[in-house]
Amino acid sequence: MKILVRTIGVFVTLTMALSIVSTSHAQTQPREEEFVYATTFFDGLAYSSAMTPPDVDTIYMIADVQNILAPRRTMIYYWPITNRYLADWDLLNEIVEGELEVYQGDELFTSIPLQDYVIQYDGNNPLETLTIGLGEEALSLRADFEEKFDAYRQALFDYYDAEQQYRAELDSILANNEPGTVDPADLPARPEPLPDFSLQSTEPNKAYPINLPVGQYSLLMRDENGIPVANSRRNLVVYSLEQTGIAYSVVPQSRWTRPEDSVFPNGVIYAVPGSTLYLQPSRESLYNELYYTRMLDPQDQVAREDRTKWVLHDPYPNATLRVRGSDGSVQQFEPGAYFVQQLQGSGLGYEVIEFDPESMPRPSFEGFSLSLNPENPTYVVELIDENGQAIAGSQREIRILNTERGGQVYALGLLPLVVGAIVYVSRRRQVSAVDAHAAE
Amino acid sequence: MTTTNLWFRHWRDRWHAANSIQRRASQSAFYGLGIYIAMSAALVIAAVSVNNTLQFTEQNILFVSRQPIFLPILVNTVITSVYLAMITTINVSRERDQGTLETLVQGPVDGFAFLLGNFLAQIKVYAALALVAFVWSNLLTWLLHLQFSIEVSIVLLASLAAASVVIAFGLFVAMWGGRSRTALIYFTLITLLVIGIQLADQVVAGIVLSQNPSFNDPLITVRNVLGAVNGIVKWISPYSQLDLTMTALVDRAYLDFFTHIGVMLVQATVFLLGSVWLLDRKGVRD
Repeated sequence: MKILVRTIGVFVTLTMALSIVSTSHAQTQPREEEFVYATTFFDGLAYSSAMTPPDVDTIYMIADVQNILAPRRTMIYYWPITNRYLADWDLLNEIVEGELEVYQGDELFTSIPLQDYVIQYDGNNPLETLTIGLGEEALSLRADFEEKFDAYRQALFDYYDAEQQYRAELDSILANNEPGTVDPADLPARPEPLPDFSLQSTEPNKAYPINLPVGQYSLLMRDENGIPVANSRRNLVVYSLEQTGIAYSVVPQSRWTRPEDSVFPNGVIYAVPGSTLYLQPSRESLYNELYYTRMLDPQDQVAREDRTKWVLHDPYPNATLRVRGSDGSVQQFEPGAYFVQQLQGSGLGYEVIEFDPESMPRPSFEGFSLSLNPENPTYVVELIDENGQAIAGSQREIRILNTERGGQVYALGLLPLVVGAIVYVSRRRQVSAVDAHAAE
Repeated sequence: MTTTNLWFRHWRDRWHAANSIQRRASQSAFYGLGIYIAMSAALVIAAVSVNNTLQFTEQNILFVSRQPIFLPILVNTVITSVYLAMITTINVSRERDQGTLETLVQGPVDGFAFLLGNFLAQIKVYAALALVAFVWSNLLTWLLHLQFSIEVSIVLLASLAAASVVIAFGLFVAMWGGRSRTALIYFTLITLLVIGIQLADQVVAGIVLSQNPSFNDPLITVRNVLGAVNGIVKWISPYSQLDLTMTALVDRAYLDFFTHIGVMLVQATVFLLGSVWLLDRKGVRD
């Protein structure tokens, strides 16, 4: 009987395994070798990359900054899940060598040779440290980065050695003395930990650096023999930002995962009485929606040319928030770090508390805390720099909205009816008086 | 008597006739209950949009806006101006239907004075309604503790230009349609078509936004077609022009602001002169 059960078990297992094998299919799409433009573009804060497949006829870039175009041969396939053409770079990734020609109308505007490039920035302050090196400078930047990285690695080894030595000495002192008898001054000094290595750098790559003023251009790639490369003609739209400013992401304490952005300098933040808000200022730029979106995603189909888009960049550093209340009070706030602590029990709930680095792993968010007092229904906030000067475009008004008066809004709508009734009745009286007079 | 004097006298008589018609028509509107009911309806519908904002703020804790009153004002302008234009269409085409117009033109009233008088009457009524809307918006600002803004008053003034286009269009349709019923059908269909294209464009654009569209998505084609049509309609529709005027005002793009006002004034003039031309061409009796 046991043998029978075991045989049936083996049979069932094998059948199931075979059925799985027979019903599973690899989801692969046919690949085709195509000419594409890989772009490395400045997005207003940092460099990002995108691929422009053959079906997309226009490339978008920001004006007067160094961007990179890399015409490549690769294998292209359509990925139905995201409705996108993708490149299989592992299968084929070949830079097309020659000259990239940029035309304005029918006239050749510039011709760009293939060059090395390296992008570097400090991760702690990318906007102000972003560097792009071309040609010899690129190689020198990379060499400098490797030198600094080697020095950091050596410093890190030295730090671990010093840390080990410190622990060994500490253990030895503790082992040879009675608890409470050691003078803290006799303890060895703990080595200072190293800050993270924040310099970031790309490897030297070959491509065609491009830096153009605002305008409409077209691109054409010529190979090393000067022959136009098939399918390499594309339109190029070079555009500039329309405006810059300071945005606030406003985090309500009771909905901390759902911040609202106040992007317009003349926008008003309305809030309910008694709420606590956390304001997170950041730099922002206004772009044409279509140009900016298609720069990030050349295959986007949603953005429109007749709209604009505020793009929020990095948090605004080293600023203080000045708050003026409608009662005449003026307060200044420093940014704080906050931690969201889940409440005990099975029900949902949390509280936002100030971040304590000793007992909490990392802050949930940072910002300026502002509690709205119903007695003080209007506040004007603005950022102040290190010199005490107000930062242009950072002013916002925060008003407590009387949300409970919705019924009275409807009542206001009946006002014309009251006026109409008065006019109608007085007119009727006038007509009656005239009729009576005529009858006399 | 010199030619200049004759010309001056002719236009003075015309203006006098137009003014008399204006007074008669506007008094008739002010003494009826219709405009008060229409205005109340417009404000109650506008209040729905305000209440929606209040409820949103209550649930979301926050509401960020540059000008929360602009949408209710736009709603109010649409409803009251369409009402006045419909009344104009009915009144003017009825005068033609019933032969009153034929009698009028035997006297000192010509077609131009008749149409101008009716146009000015409805503009006067709309100006009074805009004044009520001004009081309403200030009461609303105080009641809800919104930010007081001079821009609201400017938009209400600008709404006069939008209303003048709709009213002039009502006159044009009255002359074009002939009989009052036909004219009313023309007016309703064209208004619905223009507003419908704009609404459809917004709805479809919203649906496309919430999807992950591909190159071959038919909705993208619909969206692009509607977007292109709306690109033309927005220069025809006075409500789009008013909306663009509002946006220009909050963006402080004053050149755009005056451009859109100018477009509306040109539209109103074209419709008004067009209706005079149609009256001359078709005659005072169908």
